[in-house]
Amino acid sequence: MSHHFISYFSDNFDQTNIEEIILTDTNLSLNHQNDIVLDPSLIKKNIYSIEADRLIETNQFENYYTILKEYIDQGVKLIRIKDLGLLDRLFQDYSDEVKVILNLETAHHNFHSINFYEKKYGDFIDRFIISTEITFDNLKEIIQKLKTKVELYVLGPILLFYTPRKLLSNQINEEFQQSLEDRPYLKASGTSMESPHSGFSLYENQAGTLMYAPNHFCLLDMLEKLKSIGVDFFRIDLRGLPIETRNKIESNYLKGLDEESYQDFKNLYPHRILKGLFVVNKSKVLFKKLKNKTLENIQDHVATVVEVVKDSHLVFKQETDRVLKIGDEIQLLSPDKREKIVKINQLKSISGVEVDQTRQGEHFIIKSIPAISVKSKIRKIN
Amino acid sequence: MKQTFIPELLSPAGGLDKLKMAVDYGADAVYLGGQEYGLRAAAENFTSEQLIEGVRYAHQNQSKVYVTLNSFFHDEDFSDLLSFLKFLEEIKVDAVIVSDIGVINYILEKTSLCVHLSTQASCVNEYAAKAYADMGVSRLVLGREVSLNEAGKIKKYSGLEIELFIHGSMCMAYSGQCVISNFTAGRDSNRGGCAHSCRFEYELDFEGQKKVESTFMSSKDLNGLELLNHYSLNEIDSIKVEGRMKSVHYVSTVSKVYRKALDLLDNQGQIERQQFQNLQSELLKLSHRDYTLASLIDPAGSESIYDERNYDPNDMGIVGEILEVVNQEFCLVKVRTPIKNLEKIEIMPFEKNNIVLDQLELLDVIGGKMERANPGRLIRIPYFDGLEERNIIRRFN
Repeated sequence: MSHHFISYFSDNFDQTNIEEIILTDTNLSLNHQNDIVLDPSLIKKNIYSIEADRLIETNQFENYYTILKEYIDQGVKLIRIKDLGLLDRLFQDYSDEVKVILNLETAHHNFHSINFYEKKYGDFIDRFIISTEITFDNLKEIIQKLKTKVELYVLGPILLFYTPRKLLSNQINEEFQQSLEDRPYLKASGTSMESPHSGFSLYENQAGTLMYAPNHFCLLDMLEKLKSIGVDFFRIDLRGLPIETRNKIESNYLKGLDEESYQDFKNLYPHRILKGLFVVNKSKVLFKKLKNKTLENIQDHVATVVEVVKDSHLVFKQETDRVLKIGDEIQLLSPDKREKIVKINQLKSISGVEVDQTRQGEHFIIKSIPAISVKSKIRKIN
Repeated sequence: MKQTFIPELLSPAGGLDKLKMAVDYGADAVYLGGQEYGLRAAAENFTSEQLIEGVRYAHQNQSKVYVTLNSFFHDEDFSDLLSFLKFLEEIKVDAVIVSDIGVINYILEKTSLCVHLSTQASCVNEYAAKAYADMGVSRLVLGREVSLNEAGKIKKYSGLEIELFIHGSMCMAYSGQCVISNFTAGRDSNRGGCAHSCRFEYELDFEGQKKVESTFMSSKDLNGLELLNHYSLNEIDSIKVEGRMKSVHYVSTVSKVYRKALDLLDNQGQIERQQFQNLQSELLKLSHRDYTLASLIDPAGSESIYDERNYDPNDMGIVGEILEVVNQEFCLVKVRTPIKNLEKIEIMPFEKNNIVLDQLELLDVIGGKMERANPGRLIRIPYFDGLEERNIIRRFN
């Protein structure tokens, strides 16, 4: 079964499954690396899409829009965008002339958010680019409910970070910078000094600075499964690979991979590959571990312990109007779940005066109680 | 004479104590997170009971409460959302802050809650703003890449209220677009688990020709105090202070400084140089990275990068806060950082000028002398007119 591939190159256009070529522009695209000369015959066949995937601040918007219009005037009918403002402006101006491929790879991980665009912009959206952080099972459910076609990224580097600030050029002197300026970008490799990660690819260009993961993303072994749930288009990004490797991948590995060819592919591909969060996304599971247990809340308490001095005293704040009196039994629950039940035999105000009962909002002193620490909660037992 | 436009002061409330402090020190509104759906999973956050108490306290003091629901949802996250939204409606929170376009529409369809668009949605131009206005959003928290001038234009074009950050830590990436933490630490930064990988030091290798060690992705902290009148001129409706994870010292000091600055602007139409310097010196007392204006005037350049790793978030400036004023005789103070006998301290009332004590005689809770008090201990300090519960005590520098 053939698949619809989308790529940034056109070297072997006629011999591969590649059906769409993504154009990038130094003024429009997040990651522009190579200029492609537009082939008029391919324009007629609607082969090109232009990647205009930046977020655009107000002061840059008109200039950006003017450059994008030049592509539309040349006959490019498919525009890859991310910015909601650009989507809305194109919808106002060009809803009969072009279609957009809406990039929802970040910030859109549920049906409701994707469906919003389908409801509002209808056929103006040719297809959605869906996030690879959505797991396969969830993606299946979402696609079943959508009318619009879906594109998924299946091979290439993983974009981690995007800022409009220029973060590389200020790290090197001007002379060295000039020696690298025969390209539209500065490139570096990053190694974390504080975590075990190395091999981040970094680019600085007109869009700002981009950071890519050390490992690449690959779902080539899942193409049939993806197609069976309704993924219509598969995007690959082979930029940065040696031309021979690129050609081999385009010729041999875009038909889908069985176990054996997957192993061959892994041997050929110059980066480690992973499926990221696509198969299992447990990034929320860890959250509970971030919490400090001592901050867990115990309800129904009347007071909270604010100071404990071992073998001396304990100070608590009376927080509710259920006051404590001499003779009352109280239950003390420490943040680490230790429990004591004691009877109040002596009670002092914070001025050191003996009192019969507490008052809401004030602090009181009793004798210290072993195992009971600060932040322990006090409950009144009848 | 045209009246000076005075924005709302919006302070962070990482927990109930910080909410009360922010309100006491002059915040017109606070923003906070519940136990779910926010972007600060490690923060104390608010239980339902604390939310009720927080809203009660804020409203009693004429302040508003905005609740963050600004994570990017996966389908599974919707299951308990409606009951939480109904609860927020019932306790009358003033707005919810939301990033996810699906969640925005869900809330607008199913509740009467007022929706503010979170900065996480990276709304940075007027056309996106108008699209959000058409949806029914009432306020935009603009992306940190937007200048004051652009913010003014966006307000005019969209007709929406505009909220813009004025102080605090900055994401280097477009908010909501960064997934470093997801792929390196398995923690989804857009669901509250950010590991702050952008603050790490990296070795940069420029294609084998040059190597540099640098915290090149770490941004300096925003400090827009000197541009407060520009916020006013552009009619920015709300100035936002970042920092739900930050200390009570930070929340109280920043709230007091910006409250005072806004009041000066209101009363005098401008802030005099000396007044500005006094206020700025208060902000310098806080633990902070170097300050920057980021993109408030021009797009942030290389001077906005904090190329150091020695930021110490543990704030040693604070001594503690007043827990109780006892019969106008003495104040009971909870110690937060170690203090020695006879140190010089200053007490920060909510509105009045700070009170300086040259030598604080350390007394424990029962009046016994101490040479040193460690964090968690209670001490007595002398009472002065105007001191109140939750006033901050700090070292005098």
